[in-house]
Amino acid sequence: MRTERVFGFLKPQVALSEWDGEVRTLPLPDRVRVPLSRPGRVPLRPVVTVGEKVKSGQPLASTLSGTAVHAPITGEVIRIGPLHTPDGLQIQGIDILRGETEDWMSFQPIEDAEGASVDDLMNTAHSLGFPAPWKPEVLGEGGLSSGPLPIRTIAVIAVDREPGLSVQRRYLTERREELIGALGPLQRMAGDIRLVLLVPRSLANEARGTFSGIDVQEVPERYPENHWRLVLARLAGKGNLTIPGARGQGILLLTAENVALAGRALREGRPRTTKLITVSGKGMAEPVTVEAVIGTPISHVFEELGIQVEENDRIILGGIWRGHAQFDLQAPITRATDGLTINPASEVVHLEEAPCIHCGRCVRACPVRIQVGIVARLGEFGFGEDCYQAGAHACIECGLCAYVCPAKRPLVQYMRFGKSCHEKKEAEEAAAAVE
Amino acid sequence: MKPPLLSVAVGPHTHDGSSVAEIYLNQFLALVPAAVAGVLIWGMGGLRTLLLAVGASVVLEWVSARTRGRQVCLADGSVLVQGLLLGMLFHPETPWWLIVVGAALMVILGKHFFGGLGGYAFNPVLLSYAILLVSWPGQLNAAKQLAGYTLHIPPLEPLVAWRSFGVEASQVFSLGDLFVGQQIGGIGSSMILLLVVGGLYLMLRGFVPWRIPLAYLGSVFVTAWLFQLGAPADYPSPLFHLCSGIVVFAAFFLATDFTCSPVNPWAQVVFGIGCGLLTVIIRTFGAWPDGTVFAVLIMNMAQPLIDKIQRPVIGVEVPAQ
Repeated sequence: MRTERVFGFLKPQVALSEWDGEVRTLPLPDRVRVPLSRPGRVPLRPVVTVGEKVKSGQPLASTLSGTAVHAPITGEVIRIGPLHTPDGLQIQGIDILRGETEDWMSFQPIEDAEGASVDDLMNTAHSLGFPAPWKPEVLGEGGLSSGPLPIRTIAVIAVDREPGLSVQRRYLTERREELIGALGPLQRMAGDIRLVLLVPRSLANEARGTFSGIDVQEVPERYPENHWRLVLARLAGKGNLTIPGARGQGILLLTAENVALAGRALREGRPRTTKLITVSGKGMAEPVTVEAVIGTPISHVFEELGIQVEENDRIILGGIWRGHAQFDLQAPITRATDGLTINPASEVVHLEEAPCIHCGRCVRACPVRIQVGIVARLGEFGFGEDCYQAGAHACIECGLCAYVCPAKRPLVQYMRFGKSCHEKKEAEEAAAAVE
Repeated sequence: MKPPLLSVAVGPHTHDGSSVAEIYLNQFLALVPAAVAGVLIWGMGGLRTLLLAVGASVVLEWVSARTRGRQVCLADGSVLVQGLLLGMLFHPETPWWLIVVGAALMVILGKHFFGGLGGYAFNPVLLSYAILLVSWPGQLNAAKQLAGYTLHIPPLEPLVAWRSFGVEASQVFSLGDLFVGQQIGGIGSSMILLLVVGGLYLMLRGFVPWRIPLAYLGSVFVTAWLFQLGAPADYPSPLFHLCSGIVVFAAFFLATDFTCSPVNPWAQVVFGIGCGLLTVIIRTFGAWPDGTVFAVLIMNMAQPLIDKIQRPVIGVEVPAQ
């Protein structure tokens, strides 16, 4: 990938990866850790107790409406307690110790997706953990996640989040059949809602042939132009997405992987338990995409791939641009994890608390045209209001500013700090208004 | 076994490898040809002046940073470049004390009073030189101080010749001679050809914002050409303007100082145009033959305002006024 500035005239442009190596299925880990709901989402309540034996596919926790999280392996629940999400939030999780045999709790599959009624499809998908948030009556109380309805567009995105990852695009290449099989039921469930398939530009023509009857739209294969929020902004037809967000534009974003796995779950009558992740970094000649069960500790992935983790290495869930560094090798693979990157200690980037020299590279690199240099300085010293006025909340946290900063300032962190200062103040004001 | 301690930080977990030191090292390298040519022309006097300016600046930077309780940041190389820039503005017979005073004004008043690199409002080199120019005009009058040298070029600064004796006097100078640096002036700051080579290198590598020098020099050319169009008998050609004095030096190395120049593309163009316009106007009507110093300082002052020429942020509703 080309990451350097070309003679100072052009912005850094980072191409998305095009490789499609074989997918390796990892053996089941001895222990999994399944995260439950994040703050702000519909709460999941555990329906199992410590010491209980569970089968693969058995519901572990469920919302009031019945949407569940399912056990990825067969074994015994050994702990229900706090864990850390990849981005560092403390939430509840359930630990399962693997048993001797693998046993499935199956549901009634949909034998004939063409013949089944839409209600059957909806209800089965719902019980398998794939609720349709555009039908509030199916969700019942609480819904999947808060957001203004109605949804007018469902966007299925088969473009990877960032360079170096090769997960979503695989559902256009070697796993194409699964996506084709899933889009039919999705289209029927969607009814009048517009369905859009977003694909990388180089695969667009092929996809138009394969997915006939579906609105296929191209996405540039360059980071950060492929950033999902920028793509959605383009789809919404205006440059305004960050306020109030995709839902405010009536768009529901589904990843190609989630859609394909929902289709598989319907066919097989088994809840989704796996996740594709691209592993890259230290000691690996080239990245490899593996299929692991949700909740697999990252140490298991490294053991299976023969990667030695040493002192001061940096382990990142996600890609090198927007991924989150982990402090714990027991951190689990979650549904939203597309990548696992390990930077050896010698290649770890150290940012500094250095003063800004006002060179302006960040400003010219910013895809949403924030005056990064000045806004980051405001954020650094906690001027949340001024950050907000200058548009800090439009930041998509792509990381290009910090990538080009010669002073190696932690610009993304400063932006986030500025944003959080503003949000904190707004929350306080809202609380005061209630009183 | 104890699990290994991992390195944790916020993303991105990659960097393009650029550094402040890299920028200033390259700026220093780009100045070296002109500085060496200056020394070759002016001999030991030139070498003494450059070494004294750089040396005094480095020592004063170290002292200032220590006094402010800051970690000494000589490593970023900025003071090396600024010391050399200041030295190249002086003529070879500048008294040693004047150089030291200049370095002190630059580092202490121009830079550290404002908080060091990244904090100052005016280019410290120009601020210091402007104060010296106003305070000790006699000592900085190159033609007067260089009277002892045996020269095979007209013993007068081209701009002084034009302002004192009219356009005919300016035609004594061959443009070719001026372009290769055959003129009375600072050590290296009038080596037009070598400065252009160094400046182009910096522009192409992205170590100076390329729009500023282009807009600056273009604006000097157009403004001077308009003057000449109006009254050819009173005003010299645009090329004479470009090849005399320190305008090329300023366009590539002084106006482009990151800290006090705009960062937005169109703001940079406006900044460059403003510099060029003011340079020619001050040269034509001002009390000082070379208005470049003051033109850039005035535009430095306007930088925060000019930098308001921005494109709107994507994804933000325009706040109700």
